[in-house]
Amino acid sequence: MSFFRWMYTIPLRFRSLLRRGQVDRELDEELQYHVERQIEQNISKGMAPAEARIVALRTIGPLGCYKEECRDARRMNFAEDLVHDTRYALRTLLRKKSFTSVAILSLAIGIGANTAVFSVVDPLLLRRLPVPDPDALVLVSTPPPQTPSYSISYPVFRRLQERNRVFSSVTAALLLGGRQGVQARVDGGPSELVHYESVAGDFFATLGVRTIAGRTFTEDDGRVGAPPTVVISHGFWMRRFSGDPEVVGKTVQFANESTPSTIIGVTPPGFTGFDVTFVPDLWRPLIPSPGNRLLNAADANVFRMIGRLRPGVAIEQARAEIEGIFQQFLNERLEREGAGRPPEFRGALLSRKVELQSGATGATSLRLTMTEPFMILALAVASVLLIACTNVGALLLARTVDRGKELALRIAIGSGRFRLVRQLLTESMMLAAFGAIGGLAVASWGSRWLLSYLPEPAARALNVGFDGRVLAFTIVISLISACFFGVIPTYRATKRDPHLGLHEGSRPTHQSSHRTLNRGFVVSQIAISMVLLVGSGLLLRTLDNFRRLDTGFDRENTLRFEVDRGQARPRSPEEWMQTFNQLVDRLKAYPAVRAASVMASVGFLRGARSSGNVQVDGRTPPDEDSTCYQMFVGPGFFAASGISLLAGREIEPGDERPGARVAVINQAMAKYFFGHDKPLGKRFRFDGNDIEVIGVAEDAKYDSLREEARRTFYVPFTARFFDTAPGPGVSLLVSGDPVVLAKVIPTAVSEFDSQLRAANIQSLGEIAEATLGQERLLVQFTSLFSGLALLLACIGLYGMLSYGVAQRTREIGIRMALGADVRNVIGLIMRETGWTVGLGIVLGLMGAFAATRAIASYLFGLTPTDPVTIALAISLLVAAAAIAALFPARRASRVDPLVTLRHE
Amino acid sequence: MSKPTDLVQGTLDLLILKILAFEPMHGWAISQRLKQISGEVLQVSDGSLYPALHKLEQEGWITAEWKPSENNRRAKFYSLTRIGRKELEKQAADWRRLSAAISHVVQLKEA
Repeated sequence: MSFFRWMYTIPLRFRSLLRRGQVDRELDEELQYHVERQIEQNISKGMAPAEARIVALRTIGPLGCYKEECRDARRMNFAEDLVHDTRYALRTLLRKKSFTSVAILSLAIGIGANTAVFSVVDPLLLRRLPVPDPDALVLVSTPPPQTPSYSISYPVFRRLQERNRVFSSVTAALLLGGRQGVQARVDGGPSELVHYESVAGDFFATLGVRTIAGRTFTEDDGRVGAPPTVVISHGFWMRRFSGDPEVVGKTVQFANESTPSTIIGVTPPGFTGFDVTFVPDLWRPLIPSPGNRLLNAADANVFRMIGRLRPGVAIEQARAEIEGIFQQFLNERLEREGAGRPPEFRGALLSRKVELQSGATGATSLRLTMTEPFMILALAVASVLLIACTNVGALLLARTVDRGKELALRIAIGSGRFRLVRQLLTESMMLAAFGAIGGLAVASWGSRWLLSYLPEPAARALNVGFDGRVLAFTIVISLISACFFGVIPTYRATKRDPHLGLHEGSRPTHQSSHRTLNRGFVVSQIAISMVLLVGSGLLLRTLDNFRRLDTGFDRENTLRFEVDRGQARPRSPEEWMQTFNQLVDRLKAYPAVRAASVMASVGFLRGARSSGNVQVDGRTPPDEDSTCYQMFVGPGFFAASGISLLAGREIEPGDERPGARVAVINQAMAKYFFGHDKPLGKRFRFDGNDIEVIGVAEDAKYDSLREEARRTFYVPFTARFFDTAPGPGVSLLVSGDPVVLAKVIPTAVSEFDSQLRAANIQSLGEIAEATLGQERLLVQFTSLFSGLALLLACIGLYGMLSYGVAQRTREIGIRMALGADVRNVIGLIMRETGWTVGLGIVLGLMGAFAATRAIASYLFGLTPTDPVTIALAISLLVAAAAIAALFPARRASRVDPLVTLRHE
Repeated sequence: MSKPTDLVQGTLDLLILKILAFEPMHGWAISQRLKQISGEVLQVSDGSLYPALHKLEQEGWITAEWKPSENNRRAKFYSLTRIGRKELEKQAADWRRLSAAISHVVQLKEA
């Protein structure tokens, strides 16, 4: 019922608002009609026309009053007042240009920074997948111990798919292959790069997505030997086929494949699978060919699995069942593979866990690394906005104190308090509105900048532009800000007794209480800036520590690259081995090349490695752990990578022949197994082989720059890394002048063999830098935000001091007349600054000790209470505060006692 | 010159709704009808009728339409809406309850 009433009354309200002229005219006409009828009636009763008119007007009463009451009844005055307030606020804001521009700029920065962070955080972490009932989706993964990941292996996926009764359907997407992009000819066109996802199980049914043209994959499409099929995304359909309705049946010819794949369907717009940081052009069914090592290895976690719960099944129920199936799978593996393995194998295997978590927001590996940095940034930008709001609040407060007399007068002549509050709030709202508009401009630029710190496919996927959610966020934080900085001054302005305010020259007590409040604002701004400065200082010094760190390898002069073999004729692994050896020799012949070698691209900060247990006869390692890491390197590797050899010799040509069984071990491994003995010539056992130590190399970083030196041995690189199956590839290492090499390498490779291309040429330093993505993101943005916070706090301090000087001109004049000199006056201002800044720094330090614990895990080579950083932060703050205080102090020193006293 | 507040609060609304329940009318006719049915007991100045009418229209209880009047001039005719009719029933019931209670009190003999 009330709904219908609203339907009825809302248009009436709008009519009153928007068509004021017409409504007013109608009211006049209505009353006019009444008066005329009354006159006619009076005349018919026998009155003279003039008298009839007077009597009629008397009976009707005060027309003007009634008209006002009618307008009130129509809520028209409210709207008129609003228009009036807005106009008045605009006029006041325009008159105080410097105040307005400082306020709007502060707000634009604060609101913009928050919006920018939100625009990235929302699609990365918060937004639910655009599929039906995303809450029923569950991610299933078997992360290795202590390594968070969302991945799972194909055999485990298959087992869970076959045995579970809790999911209505499940699917898994391959994390390798098409995600990096492959060359393909689309619809007979030229070769181009397309990105695809290989999916197993019932991908589209699990996500609840139907095609808008054609069909989705059936079980038959995933059979070995089935004609290859693809489903294309809406975006690809639009971009590549201009939305051609006849697209189903056209083909995509992938490089290195004999049969073209047929397009069988198109997905609806907005659907990009369940990885929020990857937008595939198309999907292919996974064909489980029997020889594929990746699919048969129970430990190859190269898939990501998601399932849709059956209606009424809770995630806990699903967890219990999936854990049971997984445990059984592990037991079977133990029976099959456990024979003859050391006891650690059993322990390691049975400690595996399966994890289930909500898949409503999809999955992305970026969430593992970027959630915390973005939360820290969100806190930093919230602090900047807080400072901006206190700034504007303080400015408004000062203004309302200045306008005290005006406001008191208005209350005295009968202005309602509510009316005054509304007028002052209108001003705040307008400031917030302009701040929001400026903020959106700041955000569109800031959001692009933030995205540039994410890896390329993710940056593209997350660059969704500003949608309704981002706009709503901006509006909400602007409104909250407006209330925050608008309410206090307004409340204080209208609270006071008009009687006091009207007294000429009186400086009642609210003046000093206003100063206390304002100082409180500035103290808190300085405290927040201090926290941000310490935080960003710590991160800055961390990054510096990383850059100075001795990584073991030569960051500057060693370049690493891969060779793209996609266009080359097929060759056997042995042939490839020979080709690469010749290529290395050819590279060495260039004068710019000091050394060159080849390695399996397992190591050097790529996060992939192979490891296993090592045994040395007669040696018990200090603790039970005998894990060592294994690297496969070609002859001349140590010369090319810049890792120093401490004893023995390099890997040399011929070492790779079967039966040679030699290795170079690193210092950490030498010390762990051989203590003070000379390790050269000693032997260790690994994976059933007896290996001789021929050299000892300096420790180097392999996984990340943070790690302690890991026990590592280097064995000769063999032809098996040229296996055609996807897997870790092969890297070439070249040392020399990096600028010259970057030019020499591509031509050298294609001149050597026109079918080969050099790809991904990077210096080892660049690789190291790339592993610092989180740290660099944090450093850049926290430095920026702490700088902004410091700037805003200084503006706040400047505002407080110069306002104080203006208020105290008379006092200063009297002091000077009584004999105070310029130094005394400046000292007066500086003392006030000192107290305020000092208190802010003390509070800020306390805050910093509490807050920097959040970033402790990102620090390297220093503690959260690093004295150098804190000293630097304090001196920066003091210097900035001194500059901010200088101008008000100079103004105070120029006060002419004669002029001020005469003025009184 | 009496204001609607001189009446028992809300009584004018009830009277207008009741009068419009019979047929649509313009303001002047309503004022005539008010005088006619209530005699001189309810002193309502003619002008105070209009704010009440506009309020009722905003509430959605009555609706207005410009039509030629009996002397062929344009006049604003008010009529009761569906929810206005409901409101009238409600207010009339309230009034009956209140007036019954008050007359009961007034008729009590002093002890």
